[in-house]
Amino acid sequence: MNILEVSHLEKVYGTGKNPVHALKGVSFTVRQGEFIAVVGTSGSGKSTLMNLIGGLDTPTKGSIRIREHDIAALTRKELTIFRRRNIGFVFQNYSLMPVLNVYDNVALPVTFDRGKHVDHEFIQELIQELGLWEKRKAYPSELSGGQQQRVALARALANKPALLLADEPTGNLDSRTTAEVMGLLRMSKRKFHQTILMVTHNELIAQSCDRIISIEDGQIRKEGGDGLD
Amino acid sequence: MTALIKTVKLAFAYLRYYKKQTLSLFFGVIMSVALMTGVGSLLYSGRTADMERTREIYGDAHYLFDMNEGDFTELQDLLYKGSSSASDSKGLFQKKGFTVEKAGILSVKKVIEDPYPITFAYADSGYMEMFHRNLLDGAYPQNPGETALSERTIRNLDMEKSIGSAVTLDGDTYTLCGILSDQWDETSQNMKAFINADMESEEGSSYLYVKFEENGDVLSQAKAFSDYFHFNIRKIERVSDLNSYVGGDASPSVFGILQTALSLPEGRLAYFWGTMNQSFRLTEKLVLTILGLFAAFVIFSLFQVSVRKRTSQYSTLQVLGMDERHTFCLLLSELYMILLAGYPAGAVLGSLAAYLFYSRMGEMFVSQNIGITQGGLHTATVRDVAAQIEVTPGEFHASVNIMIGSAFFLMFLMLFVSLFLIRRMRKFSWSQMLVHNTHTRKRSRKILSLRCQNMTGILSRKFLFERKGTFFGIIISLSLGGVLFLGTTFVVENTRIHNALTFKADDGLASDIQIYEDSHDLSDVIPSDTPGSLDSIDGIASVNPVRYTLGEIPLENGVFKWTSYYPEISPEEGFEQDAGIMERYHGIITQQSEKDYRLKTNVYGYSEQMLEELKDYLLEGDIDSQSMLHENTIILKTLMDGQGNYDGIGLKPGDTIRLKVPKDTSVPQESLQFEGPDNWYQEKDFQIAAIVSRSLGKTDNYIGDATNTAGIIMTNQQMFDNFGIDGYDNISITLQEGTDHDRTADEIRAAVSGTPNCLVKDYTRLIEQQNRYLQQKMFFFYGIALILLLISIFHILNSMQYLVASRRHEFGILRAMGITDSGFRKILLKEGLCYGVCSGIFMMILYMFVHKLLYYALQHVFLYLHSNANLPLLPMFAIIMLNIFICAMAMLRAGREVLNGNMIDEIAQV
Repeated sequence: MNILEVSHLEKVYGTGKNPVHALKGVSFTVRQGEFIAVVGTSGSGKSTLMNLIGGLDTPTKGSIRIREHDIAALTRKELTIFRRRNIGFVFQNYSLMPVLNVYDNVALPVTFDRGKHVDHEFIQELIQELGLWEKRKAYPSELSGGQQQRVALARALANKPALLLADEPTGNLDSRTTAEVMGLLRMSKRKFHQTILMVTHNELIAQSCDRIISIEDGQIRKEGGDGLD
Repeated sequence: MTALIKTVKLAFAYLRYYKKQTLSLFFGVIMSVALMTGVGSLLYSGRTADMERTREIYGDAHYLFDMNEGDFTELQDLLYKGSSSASDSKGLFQKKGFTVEKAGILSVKKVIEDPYPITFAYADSGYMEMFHRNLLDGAYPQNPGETALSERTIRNLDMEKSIGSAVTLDGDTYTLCGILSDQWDETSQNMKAFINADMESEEGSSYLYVKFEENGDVLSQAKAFSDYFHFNIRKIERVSDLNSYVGGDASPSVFGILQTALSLPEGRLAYFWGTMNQSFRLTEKLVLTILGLFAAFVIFSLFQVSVRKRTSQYSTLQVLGMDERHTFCLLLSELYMILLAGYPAGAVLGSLAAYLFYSRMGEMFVSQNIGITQGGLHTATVRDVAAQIEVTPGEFHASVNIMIGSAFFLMFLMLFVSLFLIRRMRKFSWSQMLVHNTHTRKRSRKILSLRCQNMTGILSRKFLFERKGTFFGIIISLSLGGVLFLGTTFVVENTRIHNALTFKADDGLASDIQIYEDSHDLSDVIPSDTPGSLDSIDGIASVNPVRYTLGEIPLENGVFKWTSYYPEISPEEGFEQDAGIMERYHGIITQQSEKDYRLKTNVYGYSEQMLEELKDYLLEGDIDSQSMLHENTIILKTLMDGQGNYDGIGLKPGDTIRLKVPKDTSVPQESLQFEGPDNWYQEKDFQIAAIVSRSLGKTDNYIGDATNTAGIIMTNQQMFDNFGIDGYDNISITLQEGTDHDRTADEIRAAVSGTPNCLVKDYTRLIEQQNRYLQQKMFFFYGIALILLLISIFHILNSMQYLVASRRHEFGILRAMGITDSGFRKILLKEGLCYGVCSGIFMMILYMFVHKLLYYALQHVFLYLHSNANLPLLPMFAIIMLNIFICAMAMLRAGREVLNGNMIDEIAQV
């Protein structure tokens, strides 16, 4: 079953004499439980692609369907709620709430759905799985980079999203911590049957994914199952 | 130099890039400068008008020198042997250290005491010009036996006002050869008869009156002048209050004032402030300082938002090698560039607004009291002064000093702001280090989502209190505008009440028309049937007759507490009672033994309506005309000291006093000294029903009726029943709306025309003028309060924007995680409401202190009558609600910018 269908996607920044074509006719699909790496050089358009899929930005042309919902057809509010329930984000700079401790950071997106029961058992399981139980009461500023990224991952998974978008999740980490985080991403794919789309510029890391989509100058140059699994 | 140019260029680039912040700051500077220079120029124009009015009333001279004490031959030669118009030219006599602009000599030939104290003197043209003694008719005396008199002196001497009429004074007959304009402060106590220079002198004293060049330091010139003419500077005398405007008074020692204040048993602060205020115009300076500080606060607040937006850029620049000194120069350059652009615009705007305001409502900045007091004694009543010389605002003067002063103030302030921000940047990185490397800060370790599902509410609270310093800083800044507004409205409201009360009581303007006996003789009264006959005149709304007698009360066994209050009993040298009062009544108070005194009091009989109006002045007890009549109780009008205290007479409602009054009008005039035989008087005991601070329908004759005279007030019926007094001393008449007051006044004059010494005065125009003046005053002060409130609102909007802007990154994450627009707005709304409520509470607490301080100042420094001590609850509530509303709206407005912004950019912002 396809979780994500991207077809003929285009994104143009700026108007007038010097428009910048960030994406040009990008199409691909992602199946449930796939772990895909999007690779490319800096400025190739990979982050733009992630932002469009995550509904953080709107495409100039083309469509994005997640769980058979065309996200371009959603209203602003519908898109927000859709994003909350179906997409999890992991950013390079962790982007945690500095005023909340680890546990509350992880639980935060779940509480946005008013009336929805907060599944604390699942959150506790997540925190334990990600090795953060001891640090559940610590604040982001008291954690290492790797620990912070683990919290960000736990937060992204807390709503059991259809798609996890990770934008250079290991960009700020050393090699040991990078391996640790990648292990956790794979674990989440395995344990929660999580679909993951990860942007990276590190070919070696990409090799550990199911499939690699290579982007250059806003176009897919290569797509294939070069990954380990 | 190159580095400086580069810094300035970079600063300019920042200003251009952050247009919105630059514009906010630009308008902030314009508004602040406009407010300071505008208000400063208004005050300066008022002071200039005061100075000119003082010059018009008291003359143009600064000092007088006793010519027997120095050798002024050189100047005399110039005055008399030089050109006749010598005194008209500027720089009449110039030597190192002084320039004499005008000089005149008054040679006293003789002083007589009977029928009035009159000084016979020869005055030269310089003197006559300086004191505005213009010749209205005839000529200055050329021959012995001729005299020139003022119109008022002619009236007092009961002479015919025509050239050639004769008067016999001190056994000599003088022919009137010239009629002069009145000197303002010439009373029946100090009349002058100008005579020929050849008259033989019995006194042998001559006085030199000098006006120096008004360069702001007249006193130094006087010192140099004294040195030059071998005159002992200690014997110099100032002529009038004009000196205080031109730097002609020696500055009192602040330490000396403080020492005296501390030595007082009470009212130390009041004395200190009062004296300092008088010497250094502290109120004016305080107003400008408060406006300046407010401006400072707004500019700082606006600038920190701008700086906050690019702290990371400054850090980057510092990493690249720019040191703190350069960062400081960069910030300062930005501020100075904005100041350079905004200052002229603000100064022009402020001056223009002030000009427009002053040309329409300038009277309110001019003192209404000039000419009323001289040497501490009342020489005329407000109503008489106002009736004769209309208070005119004169021309508008933009104050260059204020403009320069405020420019320097802002320059200094900006220097301080830049330093402060640099310091804070440094501190910020330190605190960052602390957070990362140590765990000294205590934070809550509770997992809140386990117990609370509403994490947006928790986030709001966390955002609020995460940085407590910032939170309290914002709360303080938000509440300041409200405190200033409330303080201003409190002062304005009490000023309105005070003005209305003094208008009626102190200024004697309670009624449109007054009929009164201008006499010191108790037998001169308005017949008892006159009020009845006045009732029949069309257009009269009310007639309130007042019965009067002079009385005396014993204050024994230490009941009188202010034992140095009256000059008669004070040990202070040079503190003397008015000569007329001493002569006619042997003073107001007499000491019987160590703790026993006898005090002369005015005794009034009032109508029911007047007793009702007297309730506004109630200090203690109850005023009820019916129970006063039935129980034969009275009201005591007590004394007030220089600090607004009323506890000089230790009597309370319920106490009994024995009142002694002349038996009837057949007893001799000396009976008013209360030293005659017992059969001249009648005595009666009365219980005090109430104590009041002022009287109405008062008489200015006899011992006068100011704050230093006591009074016994009862009903008119009681005056008749107790003492058999049935004639009236004065009658206050109020006219109906729209009545032709000229016609009505004429009819009233006709009705009392047969009554000896009875005068009718129409105060309708004066009351209109005074009411207009009061309205203008209120309008101005409420206007200032409103401007402060508007600036404060502008500041709140900016602060809220700053708050939201500083958390764009967090908001971006929240939005990415799926918080809806309404959920996001809820967070901001809660935060805004919390800021509004907290600043409201803080404002309330802060204002309570300010309120207490203001109340004390109004009562004991500015001597306000019956200041309202209650907190202005309704305005407070309104300001709190407004604060809450503005905070909430400002947050939502700032939030809209975030919602309209690019989420990706927000997430990327750290």
